Amino acid sequence: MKRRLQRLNEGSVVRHLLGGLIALLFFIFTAFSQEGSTGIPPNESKTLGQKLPNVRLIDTQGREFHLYDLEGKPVILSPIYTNCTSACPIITDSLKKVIPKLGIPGKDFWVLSLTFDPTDGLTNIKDFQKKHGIDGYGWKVVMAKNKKDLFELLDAIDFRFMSVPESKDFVHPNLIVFISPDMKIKRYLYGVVFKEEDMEKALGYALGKESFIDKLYRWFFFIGLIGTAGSGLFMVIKLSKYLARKEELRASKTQP
Amino acid sequence: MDKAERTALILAIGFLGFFAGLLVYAAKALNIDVPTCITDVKPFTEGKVIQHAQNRYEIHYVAKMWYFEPADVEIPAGSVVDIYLTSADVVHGFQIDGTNVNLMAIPGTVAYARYKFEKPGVYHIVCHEYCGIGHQDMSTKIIVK
Repeated sequence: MKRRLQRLNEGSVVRHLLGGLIALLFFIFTAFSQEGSTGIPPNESKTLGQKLPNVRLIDTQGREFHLYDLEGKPVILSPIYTNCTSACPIITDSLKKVIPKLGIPGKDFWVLSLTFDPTDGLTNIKDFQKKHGIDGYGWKVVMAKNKKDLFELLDAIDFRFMSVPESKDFVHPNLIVFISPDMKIKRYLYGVVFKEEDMEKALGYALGKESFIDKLYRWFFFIGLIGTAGSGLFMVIKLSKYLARKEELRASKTQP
Repeated sequence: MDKAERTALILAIGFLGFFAGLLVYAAKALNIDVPTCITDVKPFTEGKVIQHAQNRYEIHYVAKMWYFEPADVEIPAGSVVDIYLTSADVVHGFQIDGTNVNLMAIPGTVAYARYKFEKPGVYHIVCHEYCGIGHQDMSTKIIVK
């Protein structure tokens, strides 16, 4: 009995507890981590895999079309507002640099720069297209036909923005959305500057190429949860056993 | 280990697991949102009601000792309201009675919640964080028609 007690020294208990703590930290980071972006990030767990509504959009020529007219090719959707002076031009310029490396817009995929500002009009998106030298065919600068369509689409991708009344600016998350050829939301990329490899991966994913990590990803939350519950249980059992043995030891010492 | 002790331990772990399961159920199945806090923007200083579309509102609430700005707001039933809240002085509370909107106004940050007001009526908003001598009078309302 005494030998067993010596083996289970305090060091091993600390080690067990530390192991459990690391598992807990891993769970917290995977479950609650948010990528760096301002504003209110979309709740991906509610939107990923959902089908977008067939809203009506207007391009810079004033032509009306339905979102589902673009079916058959993946869509890269970039929500911007034309009055923006900080993030949106950087996002657009970054896309201009990366997109030619991925393929030809209009042939391999569509790119939509959608203005989310409800007050934007045709002249605003025309100016934006001209300023950034966008072709307007494969890469379209669009606005929603009306506000109902606009908010339907924004709600579908869970895009939220806050007005800054004094400057006509908005606080919004910086992101682009990858949409599959059958108009389902597949992936979000965050930030203002996008890397070629990230976009290539996301585009491949939108086309249905799933890597092992992608398949595993949707189970991350539950794997983490089971890990936490398991390690928590393990810690409690180990600790209670240790305490019980310590108690026994003390009892055996007082009663020779 | 004593038998009673063991039973108590197992029961405690069982309950803990059950309630943790409920938390996951609320978040994943009932889609209950937790309020968001924006910390990296300069908060607004004026209360405002901004209408983006029919049934689509954005309300900027500024909590001050001891009132909310804007005061009473009137919106049509079925409106989706984005509520942004900040404080001009100390920490205030923000609870819309009869809903699960429950925010904390912290100076320097903007708290956020979205709510769809389906039923017409008067929704009272109270400060539920003790903020000084006028705390009990700090309230406002949203009138849904």
